[in-house]
Amino acid sequence: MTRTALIATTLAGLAVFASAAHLEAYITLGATVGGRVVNLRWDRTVDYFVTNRDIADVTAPQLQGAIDRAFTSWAAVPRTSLGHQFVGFTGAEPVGGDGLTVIGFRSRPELDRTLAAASFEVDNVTGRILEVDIYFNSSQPWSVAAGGRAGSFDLESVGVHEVGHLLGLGHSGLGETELRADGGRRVVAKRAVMFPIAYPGGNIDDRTLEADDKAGITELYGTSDAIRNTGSLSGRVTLGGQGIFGAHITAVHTATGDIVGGFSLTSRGDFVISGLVPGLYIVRAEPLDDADIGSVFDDDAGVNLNFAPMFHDRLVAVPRGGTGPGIEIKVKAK
Amino acid sequence: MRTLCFAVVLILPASAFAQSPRLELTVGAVVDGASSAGVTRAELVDPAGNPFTLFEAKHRTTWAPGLEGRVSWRVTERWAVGVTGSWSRPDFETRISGDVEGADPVTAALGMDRFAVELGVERRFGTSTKWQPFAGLAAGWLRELADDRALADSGVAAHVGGGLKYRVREGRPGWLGHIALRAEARLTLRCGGITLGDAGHRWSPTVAAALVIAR
Repeated sequence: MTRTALIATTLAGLAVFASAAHLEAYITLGATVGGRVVNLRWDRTVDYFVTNRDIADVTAPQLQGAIDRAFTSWAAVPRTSLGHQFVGFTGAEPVGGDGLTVIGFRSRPELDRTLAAASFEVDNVTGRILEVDIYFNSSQPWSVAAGGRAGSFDLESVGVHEVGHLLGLGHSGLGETELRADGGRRVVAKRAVMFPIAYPGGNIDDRTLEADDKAGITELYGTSDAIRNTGSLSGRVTLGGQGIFGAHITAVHTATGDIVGGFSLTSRGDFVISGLVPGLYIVRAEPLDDADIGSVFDDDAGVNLNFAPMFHDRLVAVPRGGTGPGIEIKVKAK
Repeated sequence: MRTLCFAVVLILPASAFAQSPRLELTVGAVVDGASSAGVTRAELVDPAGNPFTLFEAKHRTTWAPGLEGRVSWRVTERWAVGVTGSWSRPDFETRISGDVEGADPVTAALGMDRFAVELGVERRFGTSTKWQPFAGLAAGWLRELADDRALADSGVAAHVGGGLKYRVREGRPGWLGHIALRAEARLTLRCGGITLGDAGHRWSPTVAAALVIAR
């Protein structure tokens, strides 16, 4: 059996990107197995440990409580089936190679813009998740206060984001950031817990999942009831008849305003967005901001950025339990 | 005594039939008026909890011609109950504008078929002239299907309205013994369907014209 440390994802508290991000999408994490990409998802209950180490304002049991609530938020998404089980406290660090899924604090003062990170070990023959480790950077200020605490990052909110990674979700692009004086970036607004930059300290909004997060987890862990009661949207993004790779596709439900997205992931520009509430959707395509490529794709080669944002010229009906008619969004060069 | 009662039963329907027919069949055209279907704002949320609008979409349902049929049963001289079935073909249009990244505004549309079956009551006024005003209300089941049949959803339709019926022929036996023309204006309420989902309701005007036969 060959193991590979496949993916590491980080949540930035202050800044990661060099330019503004305005994207809408969830994306699932994948592993290449036998020449094909498979979704990373748990085929069993997630048994996790918590490192038995307190930090200044948070004890290990408080961390475990926040993580348990984070799991519960994901498990509460309707028509999904995913289980989690706290095994116990451990002296093990949240690092790979021990076959244990461990969540804990690590002091990483050199990563002054990183709040937390998740890393996977995956069997690259079967695609099975072997372990996932999550660390929270104890060099950052943390809070477990019920209403949040000004100046400290809410451990449960960041926990929901990291557990989303653990369950197989990548970063969403559903957010807007702006440049700070120190060269970092801050969130202007966002609409997905899985957006890679956190709200500022004191904010607890990311304890609550948004439509984009729910669609993503429904795609990965949806029950047969979910398959019957949600729908998909599919199509192509083209420029001059040629497919566009790496375009962001946004679907906005006309009745609710909920926003869910996806990416064109083939050279033909094909995309599929699943886990959608049935209804009529506005569909929009836009280029990925070049500073964000690394947060979504392992390799930025081939991501086409040379087109202007555009709405599809028809509303798209997403049926219950099926896929709507394939559409083609014909974008124009910038 | 039994013989007398029997005679009365025979006489009463004959007398009523002479005044006004009990069963009416109506077939005609209907025009559903355009209606606003609200505004959707694609929004993010800022750290203070305020909305950050990415773009705005204003929805409307276009006016639509259609067909309508009705069967009614007169239960008293002035009151009737009936079942109405209708079909029309509106477009659901969305004007998208104000994109935060400057995407061109666009009007996106989707054609659909709309069906409704309503059960209602009708009050008739002035039964003695050729012109007969009436008013009524009805409510029932709504079904909307997207053009490509990818999406269908149900809802509730209801209307209140009134109009005039002009008696072209009356008092003769058979279905062609009573013929009338009927014009009606209504205020229609719709909830649900594919355009609104669970998000609300909308009102729109409706006019209808029809041929009535009765016996």
